[in-house]
Formats: sequence, C-alpha cells, structure tokens
Amino acid sequence: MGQARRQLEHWIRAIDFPTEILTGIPTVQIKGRDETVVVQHRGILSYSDDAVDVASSIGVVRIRGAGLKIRLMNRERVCLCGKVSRVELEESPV
Amino acid sequence: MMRYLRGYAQIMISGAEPERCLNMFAACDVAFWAPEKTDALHLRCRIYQKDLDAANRLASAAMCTVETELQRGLYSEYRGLLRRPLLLLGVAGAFAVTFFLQNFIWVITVSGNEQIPTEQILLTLEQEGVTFGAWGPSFEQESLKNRMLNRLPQLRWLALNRTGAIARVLTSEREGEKHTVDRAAVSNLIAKRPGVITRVSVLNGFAAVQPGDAVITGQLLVSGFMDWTTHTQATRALGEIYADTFYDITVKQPSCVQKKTYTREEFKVRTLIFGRKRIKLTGKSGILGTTCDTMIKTRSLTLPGGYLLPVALETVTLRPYTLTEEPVSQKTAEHVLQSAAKAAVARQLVAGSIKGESHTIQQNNGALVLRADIFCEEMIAVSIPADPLREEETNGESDQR
Repeated sequence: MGQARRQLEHWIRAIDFPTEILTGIPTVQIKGRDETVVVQHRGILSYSDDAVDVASSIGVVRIRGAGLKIRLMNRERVCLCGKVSRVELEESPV
Repeated sequence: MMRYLRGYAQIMISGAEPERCLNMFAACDVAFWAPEKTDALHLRCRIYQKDLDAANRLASAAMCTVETELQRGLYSEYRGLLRRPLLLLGVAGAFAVTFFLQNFIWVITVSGNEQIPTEQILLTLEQEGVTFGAWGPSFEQESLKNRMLNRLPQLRWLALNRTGAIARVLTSEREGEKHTVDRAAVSNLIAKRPGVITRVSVLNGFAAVQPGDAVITGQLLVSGFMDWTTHTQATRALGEIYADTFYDITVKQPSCVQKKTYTREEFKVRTLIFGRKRIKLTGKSGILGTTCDTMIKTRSLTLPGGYLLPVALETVTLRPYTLTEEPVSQKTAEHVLQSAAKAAVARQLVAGSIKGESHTIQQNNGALVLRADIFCEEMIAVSIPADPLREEETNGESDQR
C-alpha cells in the first residue's frame, strides 16, 4: 500500500497536479501563532485546552499550546484557534 | 444573530471519548461551535436546534449521551405569541401604520381661505389627485401649486405641506377691489324718499331745509356749496336729516296651510361612510315618496388633536307623515303678516324706527291679504356728487332774481 501510494504521488507530481487532493495527504496550515488549520483529517483523537491530537492518513498531528479551541470542524478541515507553541507529526506505519 | 434567528441548543456530551462524538458530528454535517471540554468525560458545545435529533443519534453511535442544557432562538422564545393572534395583528398593524401607512394621505386640512369655500378647494384638490388615500410622496409641490392657482384664480398663493398622513393646505386669497370714498369730492345730501323733516344735524355744508319742511324724493337737503359772501366754498356735505316717512306695504299668504300628521312610524337607516364609499349597515333605504321628515346625524371618527378622518357613521331617521289642509285662523294670519310687513320696512331703514302702523286684512282668491300703512322716523339723507359748474349757474340765476 505504501509503495502504491508513493507511485501515485510520483505520477501526480509528474503532471504538476496538487498531490493532496487525490492522495488525501493532510495539510497543516499555521497562521501566526493564533490559528492552525488541518485539512484532510480523519477526526480528533483527543481535545483539551493545551493539547489537540488530530488523526490523519499519515499519522497523528499533535498540536500543543494554550487556550486551544475548535473554531470550525467539518469533514475536511479542523480549524483551531488559540496560542500554538508546538506542532508535531507522529507518523504511523502506512 | 443568525444562530439566534435559526435557534440553537447548548448540549453536554458525556462519554468515555466525547471527541468521537465531535468527529461524528463533523462527518455527518452536524454543525457545532464553541466546544468546551469541562473534564475528561464531558464536553459542552452548541448546535442548531434542528440538529438535536441527529445529534442524539450520532452520540448514541459514539457511545455517548447528549443532554440539552438550554435552548435559545427566536422561535423557541416567542412561540407563545402564536397563541395570541390579536397581539401579533396589533403589532403588525402598528408597524404598518408607523412605517408604511403614514405615507398615504388620510387627513386634509385647509386654512387661510375666507371667501372661497373649503369644499371648493377640497374638490379642486381631488381633481388634481390630492384626496383621501393618495400616495403622499408622489406630489410635486410646485407644479401642484401652479395647477391649483390656474384652477382657482381667486387664490393668490397656495402651499401643500405634508406631515405624515396629514396634508395641510395653506391658502391666501386675492384682495378684492376696495371701494374708497373720495373725501375731497364735492357732494350734496338729497332726500331718498319723501317725508316731513323732524331733525336736522349738519356737520359740513349748508342746510337747505329745517324741521317741519315737507320734502320730496331727490330734494336738496344739505348743499356742499357754502356762500361766504366774498367767496363760495365747495365741500363735501355731511349731516343727518331725519324725517317722518310713510310706507304702504301689501303682504299676503295662503288662507289654508298643509299640516303634517305623523304616522307614528320611524325608520332608521345606518350607513358607514368610508371616504366616498357608503356601506349600508342596517335599515331600509328604499322608502318611496317625499312625505317623510328626514333627520341625518353623522358621527365622524376624530383623532386626538381634532383631526377628522373620513370615516363616519351616518344615522338617518325617517318619520313619515300625511298632509292635511287646515284653514288658517285670521288672528294668527294677521299677526304673521303684520310682523312680516314691519320686518320688510325695517330692512329698508338706514337708521330710525317704526313709530306706528295701521292695517286692513281681507281674503281674496284663497289668500289672506294684509295692507299696512307704516309710519317711520328715519334718516333720509343720501350723498350724491355735486357738479360745481351747474351749482355756479344755479347760484347766478338766483342772484339775478
């Protein structure tokens, strides 16, 4: 499965197509220190004021900070607001 | 604001993993906001009221429970008003009156007119479109003023001011020709009717008569030319000349009168008048014949401030009667005819009074005829312009004699 994914990504890059749309690769956007958006997520694993764990296709995105709150959440994206101090990606074997 | 209008609920999600519930909400398009994790097992958030059932199902699927803490929204807070339709109607009516209906003209007042009747001005305004129920902002003041002045040339100026639903028409009329008296003109006083002079009071001029003189119509009483031996002064004759005069008056009336005999019946017709429309409420209006006494009483709707609305209740009371001929007593007729004769003479007196009268009454061809001789003492002098040349010739002839 991982090899198939890598091959797919290779072909998509060859035609200059955005890879995340077809492959479901998550995207983390950090806007300053107050807003973090995770696109292409697979749900929230844990949620608290200082730690939010978001599942994705390539692992768990761990966001640490203070006063974290979910401002928007739908099927595709989670938008968090609050002071973000650290963003980690814990890869899971694919 | 939009969330309040749509209605939302604050829920408490309880379970081992309340985050799973949020994931299911997101996956099933159940919008939520303001999530707040109170502890490891409880999470509070807000959703739309319409999604409550779906939230309960999804929470069950996520092995959580949902408890509704509060519900807010326009519908949930004010749905009790639906049980009070009249209140809603009144509020809607108040809004309509305040923001919409006041743009229509409901009351028209006219001021400033003295000679021209108000009804004529209102009728002309109606022909120009300014009438009850007309759309107020549609009137152009200047062109309306010009059209009205063309239609009513007696007006010098007109303005229409609209304050809400009240249209105030201010008018100014043209002044008529003023009759002025030329105080410097030479004039004489002559007798306007024959009589015997009783009092002479001359303020200016030369008196040509004295008390006791009998004068005829047109005779000179006071001359405006005064002879001062060395010169003659021409002036305007002024004075009051009283004389005993005599009037011969004939007055007649029918010897039989028709007397009403009421049938003791009474009909009432009530009509609601709304502008020019009449809506009959009760009563029979098709009463034929003219032998009815008609009494009309109208009660109009009046706003505070005395503004009359064109909404009125008209009550017409009809009392039928039959006519019977009755002869008039001579004594009554004599009294009526005598009063009428004296009133006719009194109208002709400029100043003075009736001193006595004698009369005869007789019946002639179905009529009672009164012939009265009325004696008066009245002021008989009337002023006429004098011709100076004619006066000089007259004076010359009298000097030669």
